[in-house]
Amino acid sequence: MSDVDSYFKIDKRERDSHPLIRLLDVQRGEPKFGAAKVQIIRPRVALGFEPAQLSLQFFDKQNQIYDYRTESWDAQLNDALVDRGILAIDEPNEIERFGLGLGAALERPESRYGDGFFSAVLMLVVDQSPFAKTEPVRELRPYISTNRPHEGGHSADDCNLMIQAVLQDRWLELRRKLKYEQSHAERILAGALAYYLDERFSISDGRKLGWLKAH
Amino acid sequence: MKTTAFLVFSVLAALATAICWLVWKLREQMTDNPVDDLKCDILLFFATQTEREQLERGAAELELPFEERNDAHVGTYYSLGTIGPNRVRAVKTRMGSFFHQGSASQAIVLLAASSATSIIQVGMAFGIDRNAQKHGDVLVSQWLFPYDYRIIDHLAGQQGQVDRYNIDYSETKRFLAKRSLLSLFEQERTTGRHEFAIHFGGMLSGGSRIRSQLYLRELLIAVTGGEGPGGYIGGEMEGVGLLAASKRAEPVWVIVKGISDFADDQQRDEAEAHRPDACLNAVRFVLAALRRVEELFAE
Repeated sequence: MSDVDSYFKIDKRERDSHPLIRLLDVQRGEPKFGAAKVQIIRPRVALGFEPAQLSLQFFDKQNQIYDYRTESWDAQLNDALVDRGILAIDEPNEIERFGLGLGAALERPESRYGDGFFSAVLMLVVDQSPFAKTEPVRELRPYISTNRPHEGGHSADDCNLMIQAVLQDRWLELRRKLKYEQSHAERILAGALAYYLDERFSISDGRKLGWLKAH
Repeated sequence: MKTTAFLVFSVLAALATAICWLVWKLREQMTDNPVDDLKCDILLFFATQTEREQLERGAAELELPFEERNDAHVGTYYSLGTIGPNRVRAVKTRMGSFFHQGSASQAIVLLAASSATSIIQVGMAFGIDRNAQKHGDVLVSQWLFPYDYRIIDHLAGQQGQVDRYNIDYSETKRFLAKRSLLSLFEQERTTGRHEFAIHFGGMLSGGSRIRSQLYLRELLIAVTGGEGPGGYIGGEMEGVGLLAASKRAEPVWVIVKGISDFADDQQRDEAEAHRPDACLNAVRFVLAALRRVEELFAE
């Protein structure tokens, strides 16, 4: 077994790192390094979007971009960048980034509870949250219709808690890891939630076709 | 004279009643707000008349509605009402993924029109192993392999041999089905009682109607790189179109189909004979799984 022990003696930090994270660590040690920022590249097409890409950009001390790497969107890579306090280049990009992150994080409760139930509880959570009153969510809400979940058992409460936990985690990321001020973080999370809802319920596509009607 | 007038009056009254009934029935089918009525959580796609009939039969067995509706934008669809927490609608696509109203175009259009978050393609498929599978067994796609997407390289003949070609799948990727739907069906496989076997695995999907075991074996070798099935359980024609409707990382679809044949020289006769049972079993499995969600969450 001693061979196996030595085989697995790898620096855990290195093992856990995505190549872009390792690049970030290297860049941070460079004298010219000023900041690293994230840009989300996801152009809209006739219906829907092109596949999302995440571009990690390196800026010098004069705030000039000197290098960048672009990869397919990867929620784990994004989490690692958030953990390291890397902001997006601007607010629309932060909204898009957190919208995609929400989608990845909400996959677990959706997978556990299934489409209709998850959608119903999701909208209950949204309606009872402070985000229901924010402009981007309020504007979309009339286009979303769901059932009411069965409330006789614990499942609705459990699903509700899972969804709230996802939202809370994103809030803590914005406030504690990325250090956004409260009002700024509120705008980003509300925008991200609207971004996620829009895509989940195909609202922009439906409106583009002129088929969706507000309730 | 009075008798004639009475007769004319009776005929007119009957005619008026019939017209009123017809208008009422038409109004019933043409909903006031068709797009709202189309709004749902899950879309069931089917491609053939047999599949439609068996879907209707399966719905009737569970005392679910199967109401035909017409929509100016998307055409005819069927409402199965609400099963458990899911509002379910069914739509016919053209056989295969290509062409107008093939599964690709229908998936894109109907997701936008219905705001559905999942598509389940039901119907019939071919199995790949007569020893391990039977007609009527149900196949659930854990992943789908679009076998038409491939590179065909020219191989120049050496030393007087004829030129050949090589089929290369090295750039063709598997597409995973939606995880929440797979969980739902895994639950049904574990807890449900069905008279048919249920197989989970990979599905070959493409535009060909395969009636040659030789071709199927060669295809499997090219796809898997080995002699065995490599986790593949069958194949069909519509699933590949569903890939157009969602990102690879966030699929909205799953394929659930019954085995009607084994893609060999008996395909025509076997498909004809086993088509209804194959479709009905797939429908029974899907609807039972959707119904079971209600029981799970009501506990």
